[in-house]
Amino acid sequence: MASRRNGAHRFFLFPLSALLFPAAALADTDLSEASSIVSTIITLGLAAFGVLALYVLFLTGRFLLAVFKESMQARKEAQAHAVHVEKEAGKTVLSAAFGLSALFSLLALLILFAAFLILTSGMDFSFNIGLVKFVISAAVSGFALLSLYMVYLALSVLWKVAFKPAVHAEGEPMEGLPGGPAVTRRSFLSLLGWAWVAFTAASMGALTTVLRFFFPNVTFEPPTKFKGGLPETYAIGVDERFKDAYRCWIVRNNQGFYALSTICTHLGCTPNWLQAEQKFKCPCHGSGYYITGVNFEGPAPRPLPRFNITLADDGQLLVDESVQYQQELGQWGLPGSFLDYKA
Amino acid sequence: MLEGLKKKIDEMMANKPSPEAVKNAIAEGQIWKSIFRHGYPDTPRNRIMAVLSNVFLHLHPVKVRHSGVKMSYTWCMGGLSFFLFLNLTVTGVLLMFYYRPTAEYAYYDIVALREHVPLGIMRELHRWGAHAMVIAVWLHMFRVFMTGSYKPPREFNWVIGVVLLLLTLLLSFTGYLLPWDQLAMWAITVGTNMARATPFLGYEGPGASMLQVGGVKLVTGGSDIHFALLGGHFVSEATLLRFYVLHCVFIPIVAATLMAIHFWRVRKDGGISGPL
Repeated sequence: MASRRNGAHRFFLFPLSALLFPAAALADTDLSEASSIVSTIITLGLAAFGVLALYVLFLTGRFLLAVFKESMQARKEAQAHAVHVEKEAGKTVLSAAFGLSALFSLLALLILFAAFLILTSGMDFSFNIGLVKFVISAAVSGFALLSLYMVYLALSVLWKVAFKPAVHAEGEPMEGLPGGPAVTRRSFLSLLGWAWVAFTAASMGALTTVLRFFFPNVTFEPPTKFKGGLPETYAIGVDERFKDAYRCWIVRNNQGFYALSTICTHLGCTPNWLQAEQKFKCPCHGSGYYITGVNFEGPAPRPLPRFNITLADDGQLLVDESVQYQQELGQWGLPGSFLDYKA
Repeated sequence: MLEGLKKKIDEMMANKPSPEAVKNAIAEGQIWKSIFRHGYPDTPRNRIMAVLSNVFLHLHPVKVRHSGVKMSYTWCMGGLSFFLFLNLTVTGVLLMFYYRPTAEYAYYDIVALREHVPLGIMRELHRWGAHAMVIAVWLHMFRVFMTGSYKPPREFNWVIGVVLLLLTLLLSFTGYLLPWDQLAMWAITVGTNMARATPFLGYEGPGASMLQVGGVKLVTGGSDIHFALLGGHFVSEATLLRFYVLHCVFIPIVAATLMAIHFWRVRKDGGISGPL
């Protein structure tokens, strides 16, 4: 009887649901400003929702089909043997509970699908963050309802086992869940086994959220954008005033300004500006760069990148280190890589 | 009451205890028996019991071949590595009483450990012990390789050994940053920059650019393995604290656990291999 193993199947949902923990934890994040890793986690979590929903839908369909077949069969047999079937009072309560939980899970499924579809459609949500937040919260609540339903299923199995053990001979199927598959001692123990596996897997899955702990939300590093003072305060040549604080050299020549990164392209040390030899020289492994930032000696594989440099509204130099220009990619001709300024 | 005490003392004086009797009284007494479940280890049985019933010794083989303790064969490099690990644990814990892993204090605490903390040699012991341990571990691996002790049934213990080698090098690397001087800063900068080139996990590594959803890169300078390792985009105070915890807590616990398994498996896999 294949349907006996249905109970075991249901508990696969637990390890799957472990994937939802990170998403649930981050559900309150503003997606338009979330870092890519956060949105990845949310997307992955919602993908898990989707898989979960599909699986539950599949199970429900099979479940309903089996119930329908069985009831048809029972009605046929009852008619054939003309047996009077008494309606038990307890059954009404149970089927009501079953109906309610089925309704809840259907609702949850619908919301899950909505969340999944919306978030995988690639739409731009920056216009309505509130909607996204609502959908995600609804999906999380839907998941909570599903969990409740699964707890109810497990409890009802336990109820049967605890209160109707002696009625049945060994190995004979007991009355199963309302409208569900039959449960024997063996299948119940197998269910417990799967539940244990699922619990372990879910715990391990939840523990993986610890990985997120290693990515700080706030770093105490200097901002990537800074003002460099008025251009008149710079003499022709290399200026080192922002070397320590912002890891940046501001170089002035007859045409204007450019901002060079002080991070050696070999392995990340800070070269020194040698005024007498007119070159940047890295103390770690001897890489040398011209005043333009182009490498000419030592192991450095490429020139120093330049930062975006413009004039701010108040006439000061404005350096944006989040925008870089690399010579080998032909980016030193782009606007922003060089500031035209003639005294 | 005094009468009773006097009587007891008289009794004790009457039966003068011989050294033999004292020894027996102790070895047969409840305190001794409760700690050591066996007699004095001068019989084969008691010797085996001495190893088996001791939580530290039971990781060790009950009996060792003559060849197993032959210095010209084993070089004692595994034992020396463990001895150095113990030495580093003790000196390291002592250093933790003075060292503060912050940008403000770290360097001055290291100087203080040499200049005016009692037994100024403690930090030197830790540092030279660390160098010695790396050398000892390499030589141990070399010896195991040359004597073919990695062959079945010891192949899994070789695997554990390789992981332990890696952990030893990581301990060495994380400890490198803690003096917080120019050498430390730039050595760790150079060393951790390699993490940026990790396949898929580092933002400059091969495959990282393939990981994107809808044009949004998943692995960036702010979300890759290099960022997680440093706690920022470059070596900073966050990195110092991170490396301190890795160096003092995380890696030692993992290494000690694996060492216990390593030693236990020496015994389970047929003892220290002998000359053929």
